[in-house]
Amino acid sequence: MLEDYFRQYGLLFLFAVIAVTVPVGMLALSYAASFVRIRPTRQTPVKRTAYEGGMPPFSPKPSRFNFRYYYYALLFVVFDVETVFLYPWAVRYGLLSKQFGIFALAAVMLFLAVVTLAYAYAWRKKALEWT
Amino acid sequence: MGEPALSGLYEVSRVVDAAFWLFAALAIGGAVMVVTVKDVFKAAVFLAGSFLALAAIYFLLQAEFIGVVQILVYVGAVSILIAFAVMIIADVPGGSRPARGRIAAATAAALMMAALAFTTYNTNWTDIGQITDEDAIAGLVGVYYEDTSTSPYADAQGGTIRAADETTKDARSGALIDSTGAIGTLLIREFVLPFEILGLLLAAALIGGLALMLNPRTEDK
Repeated sequence: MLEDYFRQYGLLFLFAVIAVTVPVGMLALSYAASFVRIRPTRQTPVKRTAYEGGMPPFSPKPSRFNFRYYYYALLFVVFDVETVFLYPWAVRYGLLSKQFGIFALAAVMLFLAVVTLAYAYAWRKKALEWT
Repeated sequence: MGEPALSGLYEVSRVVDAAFWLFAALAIGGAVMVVTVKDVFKAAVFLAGSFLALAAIYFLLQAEFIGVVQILVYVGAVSILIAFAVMIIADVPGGSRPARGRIAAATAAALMMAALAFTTYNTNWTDIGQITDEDAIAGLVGVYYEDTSTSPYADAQGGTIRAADETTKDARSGALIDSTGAIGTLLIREFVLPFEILGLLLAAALIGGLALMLNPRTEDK
């Protein structure tokens, strides 16, 4: 049983190794190619500009952002913490609903309603508008 | 090599040991990079890496739920918060200024370390296998009462809900399997009110942040 536990994460570890190897390997291959002159390195000002979705960049270096954007990060964090509490409930929902019936659902719905109310308030106060 | 039945387990424990040292080195190395690297944004990336290594250690300790929370909240959300803060605070490429208040910071860190060491030393690291209280085991592994006459949670039909017997056996033998499910059960069965209050806390965080943002004194242009 204990062995099975670690075996399943062994597979995950293998997956992570492959996921890291592929992009790093591509970059390394590209770098190696520059030595055998398959990839020429001729720098031009255009090549050196930062890529901003095809548009010419409008500021030379990372600039300050309005602090209002911090609220988006906060909204995201609250959503994230909400998920943390939904996840163990969802894992056991089958058994819980058998034992407690509608209560298992209602308890979580009340939790969601309280948090969603705050989101509705933020929406109403136009905190989510990109201006 | 000993008995064939044991050798498999022995191999696994060696792999687990190696993985522990690997992730511990990654976590500490990442943390050292956070405080030594000049660029604040790179420091944030190293912090995320350190958090991820810590999550791996939680998985090694079979604390799956804590590991998932570590990835979801710390790697996913706290790192994003820090990255946003770096974007908003001026002069990103210039790096951080030489830290002031080093002595205070070092004192706080040393006190924290002392508290952790004290707790580690004084905790009775009892195996869950030594817990004999039926209720505690049932709560931890999410196994329901089988005796309907004494159970306060027996369902209306008088029938019993059986969970996997293996779960109890594993709990007794010292391994807590499926900690996530056990927490889910406890959340609904024992701690419903704290769970709802948590929702209120999250709502308060959202509204409080909004109040700060909409404050005319802090609003710029």
